[in-house]
Amino acid sequence: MANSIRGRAEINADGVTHIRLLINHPMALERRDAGGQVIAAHFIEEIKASHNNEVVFQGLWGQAVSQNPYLSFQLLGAKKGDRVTIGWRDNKGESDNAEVTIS
Amino acid sequence: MQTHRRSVLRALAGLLFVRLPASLALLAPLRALAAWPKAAFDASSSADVLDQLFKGKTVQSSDAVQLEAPDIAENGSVVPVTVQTSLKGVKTVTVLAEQNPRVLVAQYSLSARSAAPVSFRLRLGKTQDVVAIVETEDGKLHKASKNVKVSLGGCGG
Amino acid sequence: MKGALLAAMLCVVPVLAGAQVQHDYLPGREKVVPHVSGDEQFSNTYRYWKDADAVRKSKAAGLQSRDVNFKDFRWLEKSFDGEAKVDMGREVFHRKAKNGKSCASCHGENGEKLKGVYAKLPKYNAKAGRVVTGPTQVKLCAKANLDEDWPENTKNNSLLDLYVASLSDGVPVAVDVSKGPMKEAFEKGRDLYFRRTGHFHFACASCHTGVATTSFLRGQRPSTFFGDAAQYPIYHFPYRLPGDDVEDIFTLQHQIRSCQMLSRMLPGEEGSPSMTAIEVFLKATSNGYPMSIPTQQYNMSTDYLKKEAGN
Repeated sequence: MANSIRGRAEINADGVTHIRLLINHPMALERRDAGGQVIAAHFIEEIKASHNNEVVFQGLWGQAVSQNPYLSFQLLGAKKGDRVTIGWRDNKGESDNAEVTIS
Repeated sequence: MQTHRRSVLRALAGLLFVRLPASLALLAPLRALAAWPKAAFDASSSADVLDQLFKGKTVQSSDAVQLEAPDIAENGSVVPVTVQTSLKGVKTVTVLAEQNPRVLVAQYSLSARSAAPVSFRLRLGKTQDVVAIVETEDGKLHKASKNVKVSLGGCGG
Repeated sequence: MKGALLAAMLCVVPVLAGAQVQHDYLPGREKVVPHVSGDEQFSNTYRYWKDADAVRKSKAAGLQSRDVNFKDFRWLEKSFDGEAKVDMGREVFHRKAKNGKSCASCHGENGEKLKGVYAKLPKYNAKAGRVVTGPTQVKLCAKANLDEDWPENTKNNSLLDLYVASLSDGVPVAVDVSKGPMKEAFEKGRDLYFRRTGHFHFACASCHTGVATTSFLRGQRPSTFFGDAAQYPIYHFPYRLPGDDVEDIFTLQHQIRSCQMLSRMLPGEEGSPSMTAIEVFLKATSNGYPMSIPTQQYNMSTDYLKKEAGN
């Protein structure tokens, strides 16, 4: 699922980077079709953020995370111009990743 | 004020946005990360979730953890929550929805390089308590909770 | 038996002969003026939210959201999610049709020629011979110049409507309803707005004037109409009408239709003269209020809660 990640990374005067992400993903709940058959859930299980060759943040998600998930957190020890790599993997084995530059 | 916000947004619109090939994705972590805990995510009670994740350790309510969420959810499928804490050495932040069919919503692993506040949006099936548990490096568990009312919307949907 | 049938038919005749249908109107039509300050005759909270400064002062004074007619959040917060939709709208704006042209060919690479235009919509379109809203204008223009079929309430139309509206961000609404077809549309729209109809026998004004405003109704926040149109089209995720395929963008036409359906009124057809009239009324009663695009209908971050607490 190309280009599913939209991100902003803004560093403040104290050197703390506020990262905001928006991911385009159905995060579909497990449900039943008209015939009563179970349709499996389809949702992001894991999301990771890496900076300078190190995974700095990981999220493990269940079905209760909303569709088109939003996520924000703080990154420490980075500087303007640095790149943060964001990657996700869902329960069907699909994945996507993107780089966000700190401004 | 609005002009400033707009020009900041325009500046940010110029940021680099690169799609990496799959092989370069998810650079090797320096420490082992948790695998997706299926049993915990399938658990239907807080007690089971805590048992699966924290092996029955006691969880203490703490003023040092703040869980921000609306009193009344405008829409139960998109409830914004923010977990903030003044505690140092945070290892994980775990969020539970006590009355959801699957109680565990999310677990975040922080490091020395990342910090709260952590914000995201979750689905609530009905009015219930949302609970945030912060695990610190000394192994202690600190929690805060917030009751969120969920109903069908009125005229606005 | 024959007598009863004849009697029944005779009763029907006066109606068929054009007897006037009596409408129930909520009070207040005569108090409406086509400017956002007209709220003074309704919730009388205008002074608390008339600009960003007023909102700041109101919050500092401890006023809650309901005290300021719920005008204190959507206007001032831009939608992070909505921005992604504006980008998608920009893509449609640049997409080349079969004849090799795109919207950008005439309107400028960055929509320069359309800056400020949305603040003046709806307007009278001489070529079409009627008053048109943004989505109708998009439809007419796309058909005439790109030979594209983008009717109201479809994905491309809604995306473009949002993109063009974003080119008026910060521009005060200025819809002239002083004369001609626009004045007629304003008065018709105003009457429709205050007219009871449908299963509930509600008017739009039932929820958007009087005691319902400045209150919470099942987690919703009805406000008076003054000023709200300035945030349309709006990012409306996650609530969708059945069958919606419009990237969660609610144009003002779509919002009117949504409100009609939820209030058990017969929903209008987007872009029709009656629906256009209601939009003229809504837009003109926001005259003087700056457009704010893109904003979102639902609070999807907790920043708003901090503002509620006065931080």
